[in-house]
Parts: sequence; C-alpha cells; structure tokens
Amino acid sequence: MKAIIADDEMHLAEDLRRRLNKLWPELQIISVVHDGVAVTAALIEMKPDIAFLDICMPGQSGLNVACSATGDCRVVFVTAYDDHAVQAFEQAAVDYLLKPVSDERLARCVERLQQRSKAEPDALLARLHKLLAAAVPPEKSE
Amino acid sequence: MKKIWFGFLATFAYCTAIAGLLTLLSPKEGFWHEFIFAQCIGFSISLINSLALSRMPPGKLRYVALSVTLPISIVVGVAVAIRLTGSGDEVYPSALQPLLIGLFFGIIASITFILFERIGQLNLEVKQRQLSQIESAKREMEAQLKMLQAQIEPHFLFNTLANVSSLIDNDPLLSKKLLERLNDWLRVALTRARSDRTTLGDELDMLDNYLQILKIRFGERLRWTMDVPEDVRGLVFPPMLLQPLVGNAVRHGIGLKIGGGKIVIRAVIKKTGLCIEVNDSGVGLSGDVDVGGTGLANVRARLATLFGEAGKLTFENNTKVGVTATLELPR
Repeated sequence: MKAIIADDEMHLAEDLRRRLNKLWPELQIISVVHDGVAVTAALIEMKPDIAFLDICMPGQSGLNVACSATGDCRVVFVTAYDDHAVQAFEQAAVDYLLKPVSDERLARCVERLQQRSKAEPDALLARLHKLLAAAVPPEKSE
Repeated sequence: MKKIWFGFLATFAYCTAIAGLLTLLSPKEGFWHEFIFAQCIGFSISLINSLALSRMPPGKLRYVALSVTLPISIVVGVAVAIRLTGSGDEVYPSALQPLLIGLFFGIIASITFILFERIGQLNLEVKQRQLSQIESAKREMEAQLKMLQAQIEPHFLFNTLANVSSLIDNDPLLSKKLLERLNDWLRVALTRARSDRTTLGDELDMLDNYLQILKIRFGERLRWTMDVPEDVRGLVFPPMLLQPLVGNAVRHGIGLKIGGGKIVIRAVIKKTGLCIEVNDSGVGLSGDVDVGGTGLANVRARLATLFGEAGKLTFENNTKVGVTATLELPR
C-alpha cells in the first residue's frame, strides 16, 4: 500500500509520517509534500492508494486537489478547520481528522483504511471462486 | 378572544345588577322590563365604547369623546329597548329617567372600562421594556463572547497545539519553547483585552510574540519587519485591533503563497490621526474584500464603537504583489 502526505507545516507532516509508521508499518509513505501544486503532481505521477491531505495549503486547497486523485485513491483530510466537513464528504473522503489528532483518533482512521483495503481482495476471491465452481463440472461420487 | 368574552359577561352582570337595583327601588315596571332596558343600554354603551374609544390614544381626548358617545349610546339603547318591550307612549313621559339613570351608571362603567384599558396597556409597556432590556443584555453578552472568540483565534490555537504535540518526541526543546510562547501570548490576549491603558508598543510586542509562534510553524516562509518610531509606540492604542489584520495577512495572504512572503507593519502620524499599515506580499485579494470573517467584523465593530465614522479600516491590493490593510484612528 502506498501513501502520500501533504501539509504545508513541516513539523506536522513529519509527525504524521512518524505516527503512521508506528501504527501501520506495512504502509509505504512514498512522498511528503508541502503545497497544492506538488500534491497534484504526486497524485497524478505516483498514483498512491491513500492520500493524507491538509486543506489550507499554498497553491491549491486540499479540497480542490482531491479531484485529481484517481478513483482508487482514498483521501483522508487532516486539518484544524472544522468548516470543510461537508465539502470533504462530497469529495467522498474516507475520513476527516481535526488537528491536533490524538493517537486514538489516528488509530481509528488507520483501522478504517485497513478494513477497506482488506474487503476488496476478499470480494475478488469470492467472485473467482464462483467462476471456478461454474466452470468445473461437479465430481460424481461413487 | 378571552377579553371580548370577559367584557360581554361583565356588561351582562353589571346591567343585571342595575336592573335588580332599580326593581328594588321602584318595583312598578317589573324586573324584566328593567332588565331589558338595562341590557340594551348597557350593551349599546359597551359596543359603541369598544368601537370608538379603544381606537383612540390614551389621554384626555378619550374622556371628551366619552361625553359625546355616552348620550348617543343611551338614546340608541333606549330606542332598542322600547322596540323590544313594545312600550311606546307609556314610557315617553319618563324618558328623562332612563337617560339620567343611564348616564349615571354609564359614566361609572365607561370610566372603569377606560381605566382598565390603560392599566392593561401600561402592563404591556412594562413587559415590553423588560423584554427589550433582556434582549439588549443578551446581545451585549453575545458580542463580548464573539470578541473573546475572535481574540483567542481557535484555529491559531489548534494549529499551534498540533505543532507542540508533533515536536515533543523529536525536538522537545523547540516544543517547550513553542509552548512557552503560546502561554505568553494567551496571557496577554486574555488579560489585555480588558485594559484601557495599553499602548501601540504593547500591541506590537504582543504581535511580535504572535509572529514568532507562526515562524516556528511556517519556517522560512514567514518574514516580517516593524517600522514604528519610538514616539509613536508610546501612544495610547486600543488592544487587539492589529492582531486580526496580521492573522489575516498570514492566513489568507502568505500562508497560501508557495514560498511564503513578508509582512511589513508601518505606523505614521498624519494630520487626521494615527495611520497603521499592515502590508503583506501574499496572494492578494480575489475580489471579495471581507476575507477573514469574524475577526475583521469584530475590528470594524470596535472601531465604530470607539471612534464612530472617524475610525476606518480599508483593504487594497498592492500594485505589485499582496495586500495592504490600513487602519486609521483619529487623534
């Protein structure tokens, strides 16, 4: 699983990276950026599975940039402002974290993301199973 | 509706009592005769009073009008009663009697009616005044609360605390420094707001602290200078008028520009008074002048309260880059 982090405040971006490493060691944080333009580029070029986006950033707001995320990329907004929740919902964000983010809240967000990524392989396996069962004729018991 | 029913019953009871009294005094005519006359006259007076007098403003005029309506109502009432009882010429010789009786009781009833109305009106006025006092106290409290909220700037607090938290493990010294600065700023923000004897110098010192906090968060993206001569620093200045302007410049100007920018605070004494400029090299205004919401609205409201028309706050895009906010106060 690949993720990118975007926050214009360096300390907060670094802190989020460290905490995610602890909570979800398998998650690869491939890029940490600090403005809206860099985020758009990272989303298009690196195609991450998850994007943690601040909203108030120079260049472009995190909400605008989220449109550039491809359909499979899950967006989590991390911000101190609570008045963007509705727009975040319209962007189909997976979560909306208010700064400062407590450890429990971040853990819940990570759980949510992990459950989503688990659900998909299971569904795929189930379909595969059905297809195979339909293709192979049943054995006749002696 | 209740009032009308009450009036109806009161009139009926009053007239019945009068009829009873008159029957006792001169049983010649019989109770029912007196009853019909009393009710007709009574309701006639009551009706005409309700229609005419209630519409008039309280005062002596009502009593003047009463002297006109009362005789008319009595005549009408008597006429109706004669029709109902069928007594024509027999009653005529003693027409004066019902008139005088009618006038006597009618005056008592009408004045009582007028006085009751007046009491009701006064009660209403008292209640309305109490209500408007409560409303005004509530508005004042709301304004004070909004002012406090604007001064504390919740987003500034949350963002700064998030930074403190993020630095604790990896740079505890910086984290501690940030916390100390935040503490200093809060102490000043919460206590100075109530003081009258603050100077421009005090406000600039607090702003410096505020900007130092922001610098720890924004790093090299935030630079600033203050260009204020010593004598101007000593001038008396209302607290917390500049901080919203600076906060605005950082949040909406510099914070949104890649690479950041510089803030210049300049104060100069003009003929018209004190003129303070907060200049930033950020992204500029995009047409909507009142960016910043509560903080700026608060500054404008306080300017109006303190200086009326003479206190001004204006925003302008600079020719090259960024915005200048200009605060003008009279001498």
